[in-house]
Amino acid sequence: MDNLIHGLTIGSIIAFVAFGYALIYSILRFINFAHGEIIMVGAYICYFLYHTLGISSFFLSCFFAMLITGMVGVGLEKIAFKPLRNRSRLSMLLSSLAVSLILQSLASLIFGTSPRILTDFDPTITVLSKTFYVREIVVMIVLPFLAIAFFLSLKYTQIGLAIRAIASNQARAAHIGIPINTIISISFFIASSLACLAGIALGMEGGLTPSMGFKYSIWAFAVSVIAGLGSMKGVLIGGLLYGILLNYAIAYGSGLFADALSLVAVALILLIRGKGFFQIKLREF
Amino acid sequence: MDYLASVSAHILLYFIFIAGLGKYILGKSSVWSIGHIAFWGLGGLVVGSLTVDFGVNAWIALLASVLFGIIISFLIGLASLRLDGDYFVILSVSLSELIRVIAIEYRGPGGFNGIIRPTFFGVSLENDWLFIVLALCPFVIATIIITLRLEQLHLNRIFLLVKENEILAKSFRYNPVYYKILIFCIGSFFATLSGGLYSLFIRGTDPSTTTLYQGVLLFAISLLSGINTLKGVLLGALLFVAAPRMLEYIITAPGSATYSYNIIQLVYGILLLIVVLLTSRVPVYQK
Repeated sequence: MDNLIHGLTIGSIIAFVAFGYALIYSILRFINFAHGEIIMVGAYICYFLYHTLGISSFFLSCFFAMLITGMVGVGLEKIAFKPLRNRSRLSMLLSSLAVSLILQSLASLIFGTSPRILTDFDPTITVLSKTFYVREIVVMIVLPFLAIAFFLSLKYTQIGLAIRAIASNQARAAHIGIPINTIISISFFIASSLACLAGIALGMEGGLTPSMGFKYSIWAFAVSVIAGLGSMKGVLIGGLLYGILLNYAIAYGSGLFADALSLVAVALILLIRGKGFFQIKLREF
Repeated sequence: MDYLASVSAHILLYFIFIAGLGKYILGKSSVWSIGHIAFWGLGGLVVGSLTVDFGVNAWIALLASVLFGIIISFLIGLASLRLDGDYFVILSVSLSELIRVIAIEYRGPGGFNGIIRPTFFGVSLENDWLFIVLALCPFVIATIIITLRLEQLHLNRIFLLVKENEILAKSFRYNPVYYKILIFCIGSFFATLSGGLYSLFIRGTDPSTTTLYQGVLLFAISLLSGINTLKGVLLGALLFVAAPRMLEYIITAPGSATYSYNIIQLVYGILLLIVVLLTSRVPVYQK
């Protein structure tokens, strides 16, 4: 039971990150390697707000951290990806790698490589003589709401429609007057704030290090691939399943074993089912 | 170990590796082998286990590792190269993690130690410079000759046709999957060879050279410096090996080693970003 809950938590965190991947991939069609570093940046921004600036409420600093991380994501997009949009996908891939190198080394230079502890409290709650961590419960409750809000807004709001239009055909979307740059900025904002949330959840559990994001970005990438690149429904289900698998592998094997096993599972799934489970059809997202 | 010898050996070794990745796999096919570093690790693993655990002669171990690399890459290619580009990426990443984990489970995080260098027709290669001249240079020259020779074959044109337009290639009755597997095997051959030679050079294996991060960086550099040209391969090897070490000379930061390492990483990242943003075309050299 504990394993299941912990697995679901990790799965939700991976799903947060994979949402961002899928969103950016569906619009710009490139694999954003810097997204893993955004997790780390978000967690460190929260740390900075809470400890260095001394904002008294932790939730307030989480909220501001999400806003600021979103801004950082938009800024990075303007600097590193926007000038390359008309060139090959390879250029964007390379520049996202460069951004990831820069962010990681900046974080090590500013905060050092030794782990930082985000919160000194980690409240637990006892239900039916079982103890749960509050953060795990919160993550598991927030995720479904966020996911539903996400689906609905993609389906029914103006911005969601515009995002889907760009994903389906960028040139035509531009032709009918959709402000492409604004919509891409909004997508980066959403993706980065979700990654920040994931980073805070990770930081509460295991502390902050400059390299904390890399592993999760690989996992999230794996999930968004299994789900079928760009499919939001698949990301949610895939993320949760992946988290549970990963956690059981850690519990009954070792961390290294878990890394390998989960990725081998991904490989096997891909071999059996060519293009992931939830392929996007052009008309629905 | 002589510093200059170490740097030159690294440049030669990564020249062979980037030749396999940049010149063949990226240059002659559209296979995105991001985790290609797996084969470097595989070479070291096989050479290490055969020489240290079984006492096999180092040359035979090297040959065995290369054969093993070809077999593994053939199986992987057979299973996965039917998939689209982005899906192959994740398989490649999984492979590199898997090989790293196997190596660490098998021999611990320090890797192998005490690999004995082979002799070259009775000449001992214990001296680093002798090893470079008699063991590394022949392989580099062979790589260059094979590469130049392949350029003139009809096979080369088929590779490029498959890369440019798979449907057109199919209409000429060339099976794209077959040629992709072939090019993947050739690229993996060079990667395994360089990995095996590296473990002979440092007399052991070094798991820190086979992390996915290194692999991704090597992939980026071979893309950036040039695909399908030997000039690009040389530029890539220099960028990967010499540039960080030169930065190390220029930047002597106060404080600990990790501090200056981070500054070097920062400068390296900024340079990479500037180059990508400024060069109107990536890769720099392309035929």
